[in-house]
Amino acid sequence: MRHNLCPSETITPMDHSANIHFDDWLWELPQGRLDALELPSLASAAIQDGVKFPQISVTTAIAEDDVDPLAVLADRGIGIEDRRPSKWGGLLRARLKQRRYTVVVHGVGAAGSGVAHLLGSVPFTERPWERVDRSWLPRAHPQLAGVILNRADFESIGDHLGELGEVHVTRMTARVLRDGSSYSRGWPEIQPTHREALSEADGMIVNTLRLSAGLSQIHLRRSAGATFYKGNWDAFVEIVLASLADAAAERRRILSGRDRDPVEPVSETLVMGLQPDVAAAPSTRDRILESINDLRGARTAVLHANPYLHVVATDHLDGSSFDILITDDHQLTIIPGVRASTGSLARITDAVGLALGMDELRLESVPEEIPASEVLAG
Amino acid sequence: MPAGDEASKAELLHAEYERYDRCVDIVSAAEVWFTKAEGMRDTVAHFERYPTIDAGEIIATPDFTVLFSDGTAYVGELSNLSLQAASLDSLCEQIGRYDRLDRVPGPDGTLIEATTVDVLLFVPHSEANSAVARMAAAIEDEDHPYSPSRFPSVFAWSFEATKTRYVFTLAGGEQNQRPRGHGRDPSLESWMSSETSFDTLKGLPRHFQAIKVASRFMNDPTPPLYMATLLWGTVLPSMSGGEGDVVTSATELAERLHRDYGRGKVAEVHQALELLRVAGLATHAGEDEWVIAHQPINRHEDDLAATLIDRYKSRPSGPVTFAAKERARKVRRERASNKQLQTGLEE
Repeated sequence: MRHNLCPSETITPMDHSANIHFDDWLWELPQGRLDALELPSLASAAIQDGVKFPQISVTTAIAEDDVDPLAVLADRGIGIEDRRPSKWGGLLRARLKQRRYTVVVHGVGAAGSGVAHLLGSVPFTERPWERVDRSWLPRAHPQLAGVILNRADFESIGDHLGELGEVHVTRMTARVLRDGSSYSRGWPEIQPTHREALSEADGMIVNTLRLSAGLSQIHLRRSAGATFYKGNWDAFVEIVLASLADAAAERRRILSGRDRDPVEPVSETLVMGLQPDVAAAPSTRDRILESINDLRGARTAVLHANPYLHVVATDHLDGSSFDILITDDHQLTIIPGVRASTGSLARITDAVGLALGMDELRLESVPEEIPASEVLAG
Repeated sequence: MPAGDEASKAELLHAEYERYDRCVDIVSAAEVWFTKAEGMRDTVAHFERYPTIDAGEIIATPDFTVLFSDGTAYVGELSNLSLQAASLDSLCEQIGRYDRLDRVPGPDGTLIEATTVDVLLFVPHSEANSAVARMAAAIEDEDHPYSPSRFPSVFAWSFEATKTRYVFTLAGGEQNQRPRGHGRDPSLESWMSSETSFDTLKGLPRHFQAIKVASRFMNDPTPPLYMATLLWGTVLPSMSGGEGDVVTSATELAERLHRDYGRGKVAEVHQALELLRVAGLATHAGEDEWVIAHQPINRHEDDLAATLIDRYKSRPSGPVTFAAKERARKVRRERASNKQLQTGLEE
C-alpha cells in the first residue's frame, strides 16, 4: 500500500467556495510560495486559501538536454502573454479570446531530467488545452516532444490505482487497427476492471480510459495525458503522474544519444512491435508516410516499397534523419542516422506509433551472428 | 526537350533508382552470408564491398570480393543482361577480366594474392538460364574472345513478396557449377549441396538492414536520383541544420559520403547536384562550388524521389537559394516603397 488515505486529503471540489479562480490564485502566488509549491501539495494549498480545486488536465512531455521547457513553450506557444519561472519550472499565462488561463510547467525529478508535466484547470476537450497539445507542443518540436502510452502503461497505471480501491472503467475509446474505425463503449451499470476492459481491445489501440478507483475519478489518454476529476489528488500525483513520468523517462532513455557513429557498424536499432496484420497490411506504407509527412518539417523518401518497406525520414526542424524499415518479422525498425536528436526521434516514433498502434518500443542489439539455417532455403 | 522525352527520362531515372536499390540489397545480403552467418564468417578473412583491383594490366571494380582464410577468393558481380548481343559481349569482357584476377583486397585494403578466384554472377531470375546458355555458347564459339578458366557460378535472384525475402538459386544449365569450397566447412558449396538448401540461398531484409543503412551504396555507379535522394535525406540535413543554404562542393560531399558510408565519388555527386539544379533546388556557383537550398519541399506522394522527378520534369524557374529569394523580396519591397513614394509625390 503506497498511500495512507486520510479523509481530509480526499478532494471534493464542490465542498469549497470559490471566490478566486484557481488559475488566478496560482498566477498571483508570491514567489516564495510558488517556489516552495510541490505537485502533491497543490490541492491542499489551494483549499487552504479557500480556492476551489478544479479538475486538472495533464500532458507529459520529454525535453532534450539543456532545454528549459518553460522557456521554449513561452517563446513558441501561441497566445502566451506572460511567464513566471520558479525553482521547479514555472507558470505560463495564456489567453484565448476573452479567456485567460494558467498552465503549470513542472519539471520532473532533478533539473535537466528531461521530463516535464504540463498541468492546467482547462478541460482537455476545450480549445485552450487542445492548443497546448496540438499547437504549443508541435511548435516546440523537437526540443520538446509528447509521449504516447502503450497498453502495458495503461495496465500498469490501472494496477497501481488498485491501491485506492476497486478499479472500474466507465468508458473506453479505441481505434480498430484493421480498418481505422473508431470504437467507443461506456459501462453505465456493471463496470469492468481495467484489465477486463483492455482485453476487449485486442486488435485496437486504446485512446482513452475513464476510470474510477475508490473515490477518485480519472481519465487516461494515450498521448501521455490524464485528467484528475475528483478524489485523492496526492494519489493521482504519486500514481498517475509518476507513471506518466516513468513512461516518458524510459522513452527518453531509449531515444537519447542514438546518433550513429559512421565508423562503427550499427549495433543497436529501435524496434517497434506491431500486430502481424498491421505489418503486412497494404495500407501500412501509406499510414507511415502520412504520419511522418503530416509532422511539421518532416519528409520521407521511399527506397523500397511494401512488403519490405525501407523509408528514409528527414526532420528538417533540426537536421535529424532516420531509416525506417518493415521487414519479414512484423516489426518496424528505426535506425538513427549520423545526426538523430532525442526530440526528433520522439516525435517521429510517436507519430508512426499512433498511426500503427505500436505495442512497444524497445532497443534491440543487432546480432553479430545469425544461424546458418536462416540463410538456407527451406 | 520535347515533353515525351522528358517523361521517358523521368521514367528512366526512377527505373535506375529502383534497380540500384535492389542491387544494394543483394550485395548487403551477400555481405550477411560472408560476415554474419554462423560458421561461414569464421572462414572469411575479408569481405570487400567497394573493391578496386589494380593489378597491372587488369583493372577491375567488381561488386564485391571475398578473401577466405585459406587463401582462395570469390569475385561477385551483379548483371542485368539484356537480349542484345552487345550486352553479352560487355558482360563477358568484364567477367573474363575477373577470371584472370589473382588477388583481391585484404582486411587493410591492400591486395592479397589468392590461390584461386571463382566468379559469382547474380542475374535476375527471368534472365539467368538464358545468361548461362548464352555464355556457354560464347565459350563454344571460337570467334568469341570469352574463354574463362572456369565457368562462372550464375545465381538467379528474385524477390519473393509474399515472404519478404530475396531468393538466390543456382541457375540451370550443365555448365553452371556451384562455387568451389576447397574443403572449407561451411562454404557456399556445402551450403548449396545441403539437404535443406536445394541450391537456394535466402537474403532476409531483417538480416541485412543494418548493413544496408550503414553502407548505402554498392560498387556500381550510383544513379543521379538515388544519390540526390540520399544526399538530400541523410547528408545535407546535418549540414543545413534542417533548412537553409548549404554552400559546398561535390568534392566535400563525396568526402562526407566516404566518411559516413565508405564510398563517395565526386563525379556521381556532381551528377546528382546537376539533377537538383534542374529541379530548382541548387545553383552551380563556380567550378566546384554549389549552393543547395535545403528545405522540406512540398511533397508528391510522400516520396522525395517522386518529388524530385516531378520537379525535374517541371523545371521550376525563379530564385533558388534562400539568399536569392531574400534579395528578390527586398527588391520587391523597395519597388513597392518607391511606387508609394512616387504616388505620394504625384498627389
